[in-house]
Amino acid sequence: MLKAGSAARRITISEAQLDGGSLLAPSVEAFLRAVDRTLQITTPAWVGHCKVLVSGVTSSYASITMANDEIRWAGGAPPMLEHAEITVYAAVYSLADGDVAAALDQNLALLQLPHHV
Amino acid sequence: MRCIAFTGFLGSGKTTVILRTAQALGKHRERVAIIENERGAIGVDGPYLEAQGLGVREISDTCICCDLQSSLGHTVRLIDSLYHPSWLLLEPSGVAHPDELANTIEDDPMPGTDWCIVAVIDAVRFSHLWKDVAGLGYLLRWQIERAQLVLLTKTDAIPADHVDVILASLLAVRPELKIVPITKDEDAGMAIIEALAEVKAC
Repeated sequence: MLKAGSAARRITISEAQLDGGSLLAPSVEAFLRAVDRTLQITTPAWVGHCKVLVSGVTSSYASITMANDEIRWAGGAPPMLEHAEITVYAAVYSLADGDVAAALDQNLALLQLPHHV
Repeated sequence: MRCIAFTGFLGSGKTTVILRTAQALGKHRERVAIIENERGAIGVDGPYLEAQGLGVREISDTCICCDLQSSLGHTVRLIDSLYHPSWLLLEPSGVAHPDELANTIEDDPMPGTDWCIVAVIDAVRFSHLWKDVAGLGYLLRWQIERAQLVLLTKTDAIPADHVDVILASLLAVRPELKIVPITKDEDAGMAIIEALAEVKAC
């Protein structure tokens, strides 16, 4: 069996935090880019799957699968939402669970409050 | 019951392939069940598929090919008895070894099941992984070796001539192998079930 470290986090974004929902997609993408940069510090050519599931009226997820990967959305970028549950999941080959969890936790604040890009 | 195991690396597009396959089968009024095997207690693939209106049973925090081999047989029999699906789509985790998965299926005969292993290979990362002969490339070759069908995903994200190079690499390993290049478009599901109809079971 291959070795891969994995970690997941789940957060709920309130109506006030979403600010109408329009800023959620850029925040998700900023988070993924930040996780990529963090992982590259120790593993410059990491391979795995880092994904963010946005569950509201509809569900969609964004993901990257290796260092410097382009972000891809499945199910389309999230529409305007009044309330969303966000599940972050990452699994990276050759890393330990703790390494992956640290990369998520270090950047999780980017998802807590959508920011302007 | 036709059982399809989709092997592939983390992020190779297995969940999207399963979604498209299930949607296409649903249009043909087929009953479809899905087994998801994700590492960790919190998953994303199962909830995403459920949000698309599909029935999913998860085997979490373990690997079906080596940690709990009996879980797969038990889950398949349970799903068959409860829901009587005509198709069962299995997504092993991205750390499952295709040879061990195939052995798990072969070692635990499940009456009334007709298994097929499909390798989901990501065209975008192929060149990067293929070069890693002693690492992930080794597993990639095993995926090709144990598959009845290869689905080459994300082909819309690379130039057409790169797709031809990948097809040549795959066919050099197994000249008789059926390979279907696909994108994430909704009509990919129809191409997948047509290809499954052409390949023989394990």
